[in-house]
Amino acid sequence: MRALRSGRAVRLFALVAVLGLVIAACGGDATSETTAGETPETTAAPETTTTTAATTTTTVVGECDTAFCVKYNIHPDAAWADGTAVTADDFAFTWEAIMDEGNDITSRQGYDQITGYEVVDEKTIVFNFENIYAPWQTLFGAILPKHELEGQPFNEYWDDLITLGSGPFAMTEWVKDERIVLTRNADYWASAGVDGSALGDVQQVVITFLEDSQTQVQALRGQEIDMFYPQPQVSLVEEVGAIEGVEWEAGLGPIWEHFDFNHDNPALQNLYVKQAIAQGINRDAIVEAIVKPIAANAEALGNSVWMTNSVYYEDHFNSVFPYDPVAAEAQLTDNGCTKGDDGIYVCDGERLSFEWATTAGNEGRELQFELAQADLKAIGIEAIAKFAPAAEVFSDENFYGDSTAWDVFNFAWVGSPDPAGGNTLYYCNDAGEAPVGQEALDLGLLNELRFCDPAVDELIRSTDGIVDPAERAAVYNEADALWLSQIPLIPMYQKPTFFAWNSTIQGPKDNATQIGPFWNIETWTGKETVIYGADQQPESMQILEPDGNLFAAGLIATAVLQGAFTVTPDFQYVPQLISSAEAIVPGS
Amino acid sequence: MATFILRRILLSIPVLIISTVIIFWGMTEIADPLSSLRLLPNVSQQTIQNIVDRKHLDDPWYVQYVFWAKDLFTERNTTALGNNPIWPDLKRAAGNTVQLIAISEVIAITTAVWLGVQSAKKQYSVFDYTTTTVSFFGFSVPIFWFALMLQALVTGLFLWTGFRLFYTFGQSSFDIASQGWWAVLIDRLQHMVLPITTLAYVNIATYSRFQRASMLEVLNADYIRTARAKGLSERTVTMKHGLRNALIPVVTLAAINFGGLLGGAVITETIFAWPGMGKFFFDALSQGDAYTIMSWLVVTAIAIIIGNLLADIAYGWLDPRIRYD
Repeated sequence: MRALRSGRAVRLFALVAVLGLVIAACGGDATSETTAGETPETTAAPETTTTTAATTTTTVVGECDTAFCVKYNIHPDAAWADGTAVTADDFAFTWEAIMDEGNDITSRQGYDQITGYEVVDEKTIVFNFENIYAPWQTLFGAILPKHELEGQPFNEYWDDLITLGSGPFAMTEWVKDERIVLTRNADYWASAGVDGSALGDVQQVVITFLEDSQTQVQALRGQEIDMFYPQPQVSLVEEVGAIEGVEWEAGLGPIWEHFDFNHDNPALQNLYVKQAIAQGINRDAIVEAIVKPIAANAEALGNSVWMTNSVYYEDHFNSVFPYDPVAAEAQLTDNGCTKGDDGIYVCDGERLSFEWATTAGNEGRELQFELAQADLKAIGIEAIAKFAPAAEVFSDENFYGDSTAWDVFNFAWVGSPDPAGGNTLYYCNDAGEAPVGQEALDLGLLNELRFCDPAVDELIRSTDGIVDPAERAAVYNEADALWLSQIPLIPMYQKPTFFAWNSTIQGPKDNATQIGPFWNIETWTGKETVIYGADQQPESMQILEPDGNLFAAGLIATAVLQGAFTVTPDFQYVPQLISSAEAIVPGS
Repeated sequence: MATFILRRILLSIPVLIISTVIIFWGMTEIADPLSSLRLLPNVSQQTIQNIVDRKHLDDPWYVQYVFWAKDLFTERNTTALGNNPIWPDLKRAAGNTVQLIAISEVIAITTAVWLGVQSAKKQYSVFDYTTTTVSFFGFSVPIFWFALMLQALVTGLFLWTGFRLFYTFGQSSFDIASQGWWAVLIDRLQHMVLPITTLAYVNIATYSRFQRASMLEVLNADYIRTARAKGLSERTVTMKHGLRNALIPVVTLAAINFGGLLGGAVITETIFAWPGMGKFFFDALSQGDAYTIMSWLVVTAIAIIIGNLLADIAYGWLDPRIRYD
């Protein structure tokens, strides 16, 4: 089945019969971003050792029967809520469950590199990998209790309730459409929070569901909820800021906005045209207007791999292509472009008029289009709005379309704490097959730019085999500098997150990664029961399965389940259930 | 009468089938149930293929329709991604919406009929002008604005007095179940007042205008003059001879509205986070699940058909001259 067919009858049907789709598409950012894997950082580390908040992960040359091994030393105290110890068998069971073809697992990436394991002792396990797997810290984000799940119907057992976890809270109730109740795990094994703080005294967290952002604000003002984590908008931030007794924090996450160029357009195949656009748009002014009212520390992004709050971040764009409308126009005139009577340049017979696609109903994107449009008009380039609902702009036909579909495309990639997931953005050919039914270009799966550089492709692919985080980051940066110098896209800014809470509660802190605001829930103090207003109810709690992929499910799982590692707000991987881990490269 | 009802029901079946075919075709054309999965970078091929196989997504839309229709009223009518049964959630949502609209419609109809009758009887009086003004206000304010104003008002009242009279969202308080049925009932009412007020106010505005116009027309009819000439009391003339005939337009409107509302007052339920059909529809759209939306549409279509049928039956009761041949 195809995502969208563009006949007029279909469009008419869409407009008249299913008006709600438009409503949904206008609803906010949730539907207007697509997911990739551009990412912040792994653990910071000199040489081959990386120090985290609680322990040490090490890359060593040692005994390993395959190309790469990872040894997990499980924390001696780690235990499930029923008192049973978390053991190597649980790690092994988790891998086996993920790899079981009968289980509806959303992604097996990385796990499919594991060829087997060796249980060294009750608290130690070594996984053998087929090849070096650099983002190994991304694996085992949630460890499953073998004694609870073994023999149960995996695809249904946790649909409605995570029956047993190792986290600081237990999921005790889900009244569909009304609330999910998390109750403090009285026998929580750890003596301190993930950030090293003392454990808190909040006994219950009640998650209620209310989509409308204005309702959320009123509920917070009226103390019907204690906290919420909405899609940030300037007006909402101002409203929340005016409420007495409410604290808020804005973070900069790994979701980043960008303007993509479609290199099917002959004019956009010229670097000087792209450079004129890059230097003609005042990106700082856009950041000032859209992001800074929410997150004062925001800045224009200069890297497509690492975010500004990463230790590996290097600016490869702002300093190379600073805002300079005079220089921008000079790029055009120096290359023989002539200005038409309408004030728009013509280069090699191509009028510099571009269709600018983005998601309809997104105020921020509409505003940044207007700002960019005005900047570009001033240097003789025309931008024409071509906004459509998210379902349409992200359909295969449009997303991978040629220049009849779009010339410039503004959307956001959703990164994760390791850049490997975004590698195919840079590929010149697909490493694997496109997903079933998807009509990707003969480039990387995420590469809709119709642009690639073989040298960048080679560098990016080489990162898969580099275990040392610092060395790997340097190669990523080398690739990014080379790539951005050719301006396949204009990186814009990281999207802010927004977390507000009743100031009687101490401890909440935003975690702008996908881990979300419950990352340190065990340290919260000040109220016995905290009511969290969620804008979405999970479809199911099967977080490893397609129906459990919503943020809401992940949020709850963060409090209930633990993994080998979690991610802190500064994008650091820190151990949860393990005391240490070793990435082992076999000795020569 | 029984023949009429049976005939209407039988006629409704092809209408329902045709409407589901058209809607199913439309949904398959514009919505890809796998779109959200395809946006995930590392989704396994097997997972996508499992869903394709389960939902027959490789087949033409009419083949998919046959499979969907076959499973519609069974446990195999499931969501696209999670394979979770749809009916339990839909039944729960429908029950919640019925609570809301039944109360709001009763309030709206009784209030609007009374207002309409009084306005007609006291045409061009202060009461009539006031009612007209308030009704036009109800017509002209967007429902979301009215709902948000109510929330702001109630929140302000709470902050001012420290006493929580009503809640601004949801269906119940999380800790109320342990406090006895009386507390549960009060709590439910406290949660229902704002959405009911919103729905009722808008409907009162509409119904009362229809009632007033209809009543004015009836009160000037010859048979009313005859009734008065017979020496009947004004109350009997108005209520028995006038109102009964004047109710037909409002009954028509209310019956159609009832069917539509059962499909969900999307804006009201979303703003007040009331877990009814409207919110169900909104959530299904947000998740892009065509199968959930289709199930909702079937229930809504049935509700509208039933609403229309009830209206037809009510006509005969209100006006015995109407015959069901």
